[in-house]
Amino acid sequence: MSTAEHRVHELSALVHGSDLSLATRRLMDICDEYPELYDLRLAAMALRAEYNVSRDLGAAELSGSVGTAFSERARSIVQAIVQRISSLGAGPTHLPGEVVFEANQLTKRFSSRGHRFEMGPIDLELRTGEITGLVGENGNGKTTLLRQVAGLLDHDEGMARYPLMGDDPYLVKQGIAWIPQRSVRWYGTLMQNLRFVAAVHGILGADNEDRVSYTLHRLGLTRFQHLRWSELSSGYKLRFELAKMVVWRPRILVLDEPIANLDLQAQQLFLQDLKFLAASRSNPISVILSSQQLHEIEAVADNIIFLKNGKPMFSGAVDAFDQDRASNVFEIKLHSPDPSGAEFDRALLVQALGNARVVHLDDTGLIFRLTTPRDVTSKHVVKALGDAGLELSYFRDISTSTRKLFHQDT
Amino acid sequence: MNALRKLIPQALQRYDVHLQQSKPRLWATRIHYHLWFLLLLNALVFVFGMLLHVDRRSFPDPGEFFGWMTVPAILYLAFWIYKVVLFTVERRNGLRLPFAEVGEFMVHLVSIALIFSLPFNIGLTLAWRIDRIVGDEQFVQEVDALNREAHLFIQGNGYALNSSFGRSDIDMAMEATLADGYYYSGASSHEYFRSLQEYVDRNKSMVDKPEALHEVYTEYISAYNTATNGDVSERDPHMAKVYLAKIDSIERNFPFNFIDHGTFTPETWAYEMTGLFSRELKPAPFLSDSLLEVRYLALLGKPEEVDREHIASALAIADSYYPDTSSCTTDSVVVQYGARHNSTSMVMECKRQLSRIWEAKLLDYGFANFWAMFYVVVITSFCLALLIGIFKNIYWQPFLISIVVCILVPIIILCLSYLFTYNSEYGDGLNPGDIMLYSHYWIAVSLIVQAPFVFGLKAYRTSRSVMTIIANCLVPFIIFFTVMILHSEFDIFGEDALQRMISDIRDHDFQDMRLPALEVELELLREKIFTIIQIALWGGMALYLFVLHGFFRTLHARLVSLPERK
Repeated sequence: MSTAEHRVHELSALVHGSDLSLATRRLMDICDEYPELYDLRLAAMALRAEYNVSRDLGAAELSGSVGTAFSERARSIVQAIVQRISSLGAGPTHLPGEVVFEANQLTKRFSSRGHRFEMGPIDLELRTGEITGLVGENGNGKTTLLRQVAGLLDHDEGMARYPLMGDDPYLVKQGIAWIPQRSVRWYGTLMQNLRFVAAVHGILGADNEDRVSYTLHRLGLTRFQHLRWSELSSGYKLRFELAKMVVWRPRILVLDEPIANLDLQAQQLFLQDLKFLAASRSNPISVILSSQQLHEIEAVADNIIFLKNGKPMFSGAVDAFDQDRASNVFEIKLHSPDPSGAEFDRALLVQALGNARVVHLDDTGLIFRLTTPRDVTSKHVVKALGDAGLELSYFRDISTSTRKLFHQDT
Repeated sequence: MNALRKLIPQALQRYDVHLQQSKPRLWATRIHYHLWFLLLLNALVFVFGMLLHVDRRSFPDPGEFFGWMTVPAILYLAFWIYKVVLFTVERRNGLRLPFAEVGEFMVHLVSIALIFSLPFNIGLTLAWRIDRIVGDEQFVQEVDALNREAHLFIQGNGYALNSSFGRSDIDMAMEATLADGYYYSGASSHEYFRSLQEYVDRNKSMVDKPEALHEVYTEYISAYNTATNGDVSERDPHMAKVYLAKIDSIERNFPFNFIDHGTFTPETWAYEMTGLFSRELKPAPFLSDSLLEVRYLALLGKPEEVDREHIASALAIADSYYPDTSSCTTDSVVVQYGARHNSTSMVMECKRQLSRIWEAKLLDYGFANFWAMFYVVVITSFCLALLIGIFKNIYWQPFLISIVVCILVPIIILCLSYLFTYNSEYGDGLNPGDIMLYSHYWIAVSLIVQAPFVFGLKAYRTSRSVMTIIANCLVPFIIFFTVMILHSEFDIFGEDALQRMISDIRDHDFQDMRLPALEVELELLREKIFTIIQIALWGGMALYLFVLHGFFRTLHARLVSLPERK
């Protein structure tokens, strides 16, 4: 299936679903990827704008007739895309997958009052269109590495280069967007900042208006456009930071703990947007972000780096993690009427899992961590627990998750 | 801020959006809003200036209001700087265009210069209104009328008649006559003459002539005051009595003159603007000294013919300029004149008011001196634009350190120069001023020389930032400093040598035939030096603006883009 066909398929599924927010966003994204669909892009933007207004008015996720009308319009746009996308010749100019940052044996040392810390050596390669997740416990060098990628921190050893951006540090910075953990105060209104940032990066005149408007609608910030820094919640400050960066289409987007202060829904929305923005066919971005929310990051990331004491315990594709493992690991929590009855739960689990060839069963205090031979899959474990009549309140297979690495010390 | 926004017309707000989207660097200078608000503020200042009370007797001082208006102007400048530094292309890693940066600098320079319009506005508005209090022709007529009667209104410094020390019969008698508070006239405005001929010839008695009577009179006044009111060792009642008698004798027996180009004439000569950049020194349009003298001499011949109408007319004119003259009548003026008493009419006080009006008519204020203000406004604006340009484009920490360094370095050099050059046995060694001069100069040169090495840096260095900031501040003026040092210390143009040669020749023979030609040569040389210094000053600034500004902006951009060490 070609990329265009894949896009059409994705859109068709979305407009027939109930998530109008996602549907309108993806409509905008896909129209934006093809300059030939400019008129449809405007239609998609208008639809998204109306959606934002309706949502802001409290139209209860646009249920009922309003939602139906929106869906109809979305479908008509998709139909128009389907008719035209197949006739499009050459695709977008930029192809995903170009290396935008590469580092060999990157090392940084800190020494303060007898305490020494060394980050690295690390080999790293960032490509456009990919999301790289940086995970690890606090104080293990995540921010240090991110600052080095963002060109904010010098390294002591090794080599770092930006193949698409040259050697001049100013030109390099023109391709990198950095969003720190704590939003740095900015002045003026959101709109002023977006227009200015876009303009200084060469997006001028009508293009500027179009790009800013697109970004505001796309990220659902329209009603905040005239607000200032002090008038925004921390969640919207982050969205604004993202808007301020993506409006000028950087090559690398570096985010330090971006979702730490977001609620669950905002986290998902933010990560979803990141994934779509990174994978844009016309302006693919390489995203690298750090986070403690392992599962969320692993869900969107293409690559993952796990840092421990400044050293990479794992660096590679998410789905390549621990493929040659000898065992599987599961996290389990039983639905127990007595929260303090851990010993009771453990006895029940051991009894229930008798046939599942338990290698280890650790009690972390909150959950049980079960290690089994590799051929014992989640299907077997869940079946065994179900057969024993046990109710689960939490179950997760972390066999291919870097979360396992967190547990190595515990 | 929202309230201010309501003052901006819709069209300008639309233009703001256009600038923001199409010319972000120009937008960040806020020149469009700056011009608009300056227009509003100037209108406000003009209305304020028009509402202030102005009449002949009382009006505000434009120079003083100019000074006061600099306070809100500085506040506005601070607000403007705050707005201008908020958005910076380089800090957002935006696209850099060398000529756009020069343009930005120019816009900043013009913006700052325009803020000066606020104090100029109030000063010029008030001066214009004061000028219009009385028409030029009427003003000249009234000044002349007062001058014609000037001799009737005796005014001068009193001598120490009130001293209780050394009182004599004469003193007591005088005191009795002056029971209503009269003072004897004093020295400064009186010139006594032994005869009319001496009066006529007074200006010819420059050298090798007997001491003029009014000079003798002045000496007596001084001696009397010393004898009665000086230090204890100088007091001498006997001598005081002698000098008082002499003073009295002169006052009673000789005519006096106090016309010196018109007592009420505000200025003898005045600069008049003949174009935007030129002005000429011209004589004031009042009656000349000689015409007044003719009238005075005629009156001296016929002292009994005091014209009461003229006195009344003069009093009326004076009253229109100064309020306290109204209590005095024509009769009292005649009596006081006859008895050689100071006039109680206070008519002389209106001279100050006349002078102030004349100042307004000629725009003879410090702030209206075109060239002085040109230098002040342009150089101040240039320096501020320079600092703003630096502040906008580099971290504020090195900027702050630079300011502190520039304050501390002169103090340190001064202390060290004293420490190393003071010699208790032979006195001071090298001149500390010279040490400071050369130290600063070579520090400046070394700072400028190191600037290009920023291109070799791999990581950000605060010290290099500080050095680059200071070098950036110095570079526009380094040519000027160099020329000035070479001129004043090494006499590269030969002005001192030529001056010495002229002095030597003059000392030897002041009628030497070579002198006129050498003096012309010296004058021409001074003009040439002035031109070279001007070229060094303005040329250095222009060179910086059009060539070196972009270079330093590149350095700043590179510095802030470099990764930090920690």
